[in-house]
Amino acid sequence: MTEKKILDTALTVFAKYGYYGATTRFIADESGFSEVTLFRKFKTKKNLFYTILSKNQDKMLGELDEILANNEFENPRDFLKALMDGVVDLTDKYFDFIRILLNENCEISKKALDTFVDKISHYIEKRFPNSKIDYDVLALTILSFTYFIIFDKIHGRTFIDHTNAVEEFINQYAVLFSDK
Amino acid sequence: MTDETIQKIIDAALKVFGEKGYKGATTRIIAEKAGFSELTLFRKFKTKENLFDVALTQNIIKFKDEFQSIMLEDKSENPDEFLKSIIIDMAGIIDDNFEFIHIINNEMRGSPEPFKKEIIKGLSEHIKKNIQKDKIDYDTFALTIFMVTYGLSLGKNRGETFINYEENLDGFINNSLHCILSTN
Repeated sequence: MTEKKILDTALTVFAKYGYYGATTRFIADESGFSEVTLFRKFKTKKNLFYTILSKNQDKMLGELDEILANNEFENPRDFLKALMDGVVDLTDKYFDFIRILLNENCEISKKALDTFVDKISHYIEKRFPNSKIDYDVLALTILSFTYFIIFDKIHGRTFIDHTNAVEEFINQYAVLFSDK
Repeated sequence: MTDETIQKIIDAALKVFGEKGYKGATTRIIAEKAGFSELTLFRKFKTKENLFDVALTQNIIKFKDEFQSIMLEDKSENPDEFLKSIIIDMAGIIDDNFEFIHIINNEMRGSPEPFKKEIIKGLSEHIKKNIQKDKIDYDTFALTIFMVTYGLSLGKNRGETFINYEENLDGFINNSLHCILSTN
């Protein structure tokens, strides 16, 4: 439980301050434990950081797998809607983790982003094969669009209606699957 | 203090704020990167906050200028040609201004909303004027162009091979043409 508290706190702090801006002292204070405890459990700041990344990646990938596996819609529009709704919820839930992936340039973050794009890309291609579609780009489009929506939503200053934006996105891209 | 010195500090600041985020960036790192002392930096800019605001303001103006130039350029008759060139042009200015756009998309400091809104709405209107199809949501389309070209630049700047960028941009153009022109 100590570990979890430190990990959860560190995730928030790294997301807010970046790897260099965050300090183990601050993380320890915020989590309610001593720096000694933090170092005993995680040895170094770097190790703490990598632990957070790999744990969150595993969890998020697991939940993504579930979303994809549960999507049995045959109709492109329904399929896309279920996929988008799932990705939106996932992005919201793991927003701090995703922020870190986008802001920290390291091997793990690069691999994580690639993995998400690949997974979604291959999944859509398997379900709706069509030689005219670039699936990797489609996956990137879905993820980057969703990121914008959630970022906007979390910071509370919206200039677009989020629900409507997702609907319109689905309308726009459902066409892609209907045309052969 | 020369204008050149000031500009070097602003340029360095943009890079460092982009790499480390507002909170992670320090005036010390920025000064080092610019090749000046922290004292020089403080003398001109007083605070990190002010430096950030100046850097952002300058780049907002720069980006808007480049954006306006694109809006004025594209006059292709053919919708295919038009869409392709507007996407390529947007990708170009976003890539050229990558650090700035990265900050805009990841920091809430400096209230970037009005800027984002202006660009996306501007792009939306411009495309609508040239494509003139009813059933398309141009705001959404403009937003996807903005975010995907940013995402591609992010990948490129992270050290993925340049080839991916070009291929992916082509792929995005093809997907987009497919979506927009197939909608009746």
